[in-house]
Amino acid sequence: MNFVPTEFYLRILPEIILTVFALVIMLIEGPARGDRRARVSGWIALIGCLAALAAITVQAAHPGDAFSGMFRVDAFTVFLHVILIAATAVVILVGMDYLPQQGLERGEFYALLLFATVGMGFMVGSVELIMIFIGLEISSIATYVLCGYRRHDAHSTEASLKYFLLGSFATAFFLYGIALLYGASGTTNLYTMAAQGLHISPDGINHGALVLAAAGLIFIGLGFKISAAPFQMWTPDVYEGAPALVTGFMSAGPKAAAFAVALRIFYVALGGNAAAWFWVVWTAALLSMCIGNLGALYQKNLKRMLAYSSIAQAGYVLVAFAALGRDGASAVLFYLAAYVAMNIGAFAIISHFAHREETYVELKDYAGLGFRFPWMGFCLSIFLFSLIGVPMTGGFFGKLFVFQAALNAHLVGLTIVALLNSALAAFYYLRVIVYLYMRPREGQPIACANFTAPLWLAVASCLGVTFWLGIFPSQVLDYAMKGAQQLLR
Amino acid sequence: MDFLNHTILSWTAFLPLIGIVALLLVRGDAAVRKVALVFTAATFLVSLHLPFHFDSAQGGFQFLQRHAWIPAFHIEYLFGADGLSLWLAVLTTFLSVIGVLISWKSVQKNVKAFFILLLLLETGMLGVFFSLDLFLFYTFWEVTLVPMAFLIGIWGHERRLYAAVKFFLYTMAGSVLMLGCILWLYNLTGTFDFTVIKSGLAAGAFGLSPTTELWLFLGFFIAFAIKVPLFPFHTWLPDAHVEAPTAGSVLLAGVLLKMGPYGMLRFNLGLFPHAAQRCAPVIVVLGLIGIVYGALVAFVQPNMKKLVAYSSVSHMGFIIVAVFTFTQIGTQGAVYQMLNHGVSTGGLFILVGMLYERRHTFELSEYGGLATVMPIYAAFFVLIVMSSVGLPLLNGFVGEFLIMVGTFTSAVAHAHVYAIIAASGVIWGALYLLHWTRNTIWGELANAKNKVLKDLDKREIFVLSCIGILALFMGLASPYFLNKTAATTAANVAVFQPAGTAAAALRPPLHTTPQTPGAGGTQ
Repeated sequence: MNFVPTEFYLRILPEIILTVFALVIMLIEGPARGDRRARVSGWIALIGCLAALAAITVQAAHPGDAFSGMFRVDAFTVFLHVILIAATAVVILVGMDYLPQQGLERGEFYALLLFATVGMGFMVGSVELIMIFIGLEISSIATYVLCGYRRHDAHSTEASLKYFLLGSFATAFFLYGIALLYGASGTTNLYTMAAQGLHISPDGINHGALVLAAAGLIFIGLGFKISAAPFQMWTPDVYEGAPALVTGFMSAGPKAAAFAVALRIFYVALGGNAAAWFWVVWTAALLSMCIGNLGALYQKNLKRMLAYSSIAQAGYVLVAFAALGRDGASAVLFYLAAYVAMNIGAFAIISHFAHREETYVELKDYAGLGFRFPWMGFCLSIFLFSLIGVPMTGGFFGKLFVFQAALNAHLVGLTIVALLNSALAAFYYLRVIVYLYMRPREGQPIACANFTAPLWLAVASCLGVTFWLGIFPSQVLDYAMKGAQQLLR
Repeated sequence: MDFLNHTILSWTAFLPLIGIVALLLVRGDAAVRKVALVFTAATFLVSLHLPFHFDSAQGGFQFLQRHAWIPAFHIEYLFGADGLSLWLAVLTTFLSVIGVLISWKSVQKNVKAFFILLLLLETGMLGVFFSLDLFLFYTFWEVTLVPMAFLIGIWGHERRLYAAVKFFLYTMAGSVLMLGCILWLYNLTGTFDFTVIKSGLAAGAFGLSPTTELWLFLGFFIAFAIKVPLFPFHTWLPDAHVEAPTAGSVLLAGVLLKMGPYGMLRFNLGLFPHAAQRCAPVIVVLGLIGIVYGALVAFVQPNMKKLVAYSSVSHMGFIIVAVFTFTQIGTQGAVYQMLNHGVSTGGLFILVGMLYERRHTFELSEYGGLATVMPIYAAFFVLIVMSSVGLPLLNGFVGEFLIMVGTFTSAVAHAHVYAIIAASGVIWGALYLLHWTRNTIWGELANAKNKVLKDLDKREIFVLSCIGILALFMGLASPYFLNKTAATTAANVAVFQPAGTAAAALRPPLHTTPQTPGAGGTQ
């Protein structure tokens, strides 16, 4: 009888812990309902996340494959685990502020967040297509439900349905791509594919065309998840309709996880075919930046504006993606870290200001808030400056490494477009700051609940990370480079 | 002392940041103002260490401080100062003190935030002048942008939003191109260290093709030209100046604009001399257009602040012409004129701001005959206008004279024509400035509202005296200032001289140049 070595379990320890905590929440949440119990669930979820973060050190201490080579722990996996689980922890903290304010606090919200994180954890750690697909499904289904969490609100339901229908469609593309890739190579393991050279299946037949078709289908599936143009249509509607907090979560975690999967599949398994799919990524990067930024210019609704902004940000990451090699991968990883911190930070504040029933999400509602709430205004401004890419913030180094990687790969045209886009983007981010500080409020000041301790903690940690990455990026950059190196090994 | 010499630049640049922390801790507007004053004054005093311990015989960088920052990309924290940056840094700290003093009463809302931004701006500006790592330079360059946009946008006048956003976007557009070029340069050279890149490029180590050099030159140049602002990139300036609060205008005109010519001298000429020579004719012509156009527009302005803003366009044109005719005398003049412009145009903005505090209008037609009600004000007004016109004995004369001589004696084609057109700018300058003085200070006190105007109080007299005394001192003691810049400017233009004269320009750096202004001053 074969025993499964303990090490295998240690390698997925964060996932195990998250699952256990999610199940505990579901169990205690079931029998009775009450606000206090829901709050307890929040703290349990937070403790679960922190425990999972701690478990990453155990995971990192046992690098290697697990479960017949389905899951691999390397620096890349560890780096993304830290990003994803930390992001979830922050979202949980914000949830403790946001959900009671909306009268929505229920334990299953936290449980769903944890399940989504488990799914993402498997996405980034798996090196085998079926397992990646299962991870993707776990995280997607949890996210579909979270989108419709304000179920008395038609917009939220609409967002959920839209995301679900289009998302299932995109997943089908992804699955089709997996099938073709398996047909071409005879394996679902990414590193085996890379080792045997993809064109040639074990029976010695050249399957070049099949591989290209598979690459295209997989890119469509993932392009949807990362809201890269031209698969970005759903983003503004879903981001606007979903609860503000969930929007923040979606724009960070699942996006980062999908990028990680894209890196594994395209850089590792399809690395030999880079010449063929390079132009697809190049075009998507160009379109995403331009469509995202141009679209954002005209938005009056802050959530919608940030939806377009997240399309543009995906475009910047794709620029790094198109740069290929270690430089490209490490730039992607660093950008994701910075992006997650600043975007969740911005959404944390936006979801608080949204107030009951999300009344205040228009730009004009923010008039004069900067001086009314100096510290919150300051934090929001820093997150926006980071999104612009002003030095001393994480967003700046993120952009810098992206441009540097692209220039190093001689993508001069794409870099120039990216540079001009980032100047263009300054306009709409700056407009929020103009409203915060420079426009007096017309009419009554907006209602605003007290800022709770969890919210402060969440915002402060995002702010801390944004500044840390902006002033002392070396350490994270080293990790990102190590991750990139082990990814491509 | 050795420790101090190696850390003095950091102390100077980051003392204002410590001031920000202190500002966060104190309560009450009065205390906030005092703390801001204490820290800007302390920064000024600390920065005076630089000229006293600067070795003027040496053209290279001094007070060097170097630490690794991001080893993976060879980015360093590298500070240093030479003749170009030395006085600009002192000017920055000086004008920051003035900026605090003139905002004492005029800023009444969100006082704490105002002074925090002012101090942040000071750190950014000093960092720009001290940074020798291209990356660090860019960082500080962008850091100056944010507080300035806020100063305009929050404490500005009616159209402040438009002006703030325009200022931000214009500068941002220029600087992202510069960032692209910095990265490109890094990919070519593998370092961000200015001195290494400079010596490498000069030795032809990186195999830079003329086309690449031209593109890199243009990338840097456009960012700086927007900042100067060089015609036709100047359209943000009048808006920004008119809408900015007085302290913002003073620092904008006094220091931020100087970052343009400073960057051109340091990076465009220092790194890409061949491309600079290729582009020089076009740039000089744009500078000349700026001189004449700025002066003519200033002449017809009904708004006093716009008048001063366009006079800046005109004055900065001189500096550009001097920089791109590549003579040591001219470069000395350009550096000196940067300082002069900071002092005298800063002074003009202060004068205009003081009138605005009393009457809340910048319209020229609202004023007239102020000498009868505000005699002290009128005296300072005339003094500072004269300094801006370039009257001998005052600072403006020295700079303009050196620029004229430099341009006239330059080896570039059509140098005489350039010099003559530039010289005509002096006449235009006198025309609009004296016209303005006549309409504002002299004549009849027609407007009844002006009859009750109060003359300057002690604080205002103190501020204007500082400016006035400095203008006089810089007019009389110009060798003191120019001695310290001579070695650097000589090295800066050496590459442009034909082989024989290069040595000649380098040899006697101290005696040939300062004599001219000295002679001018004592006539």
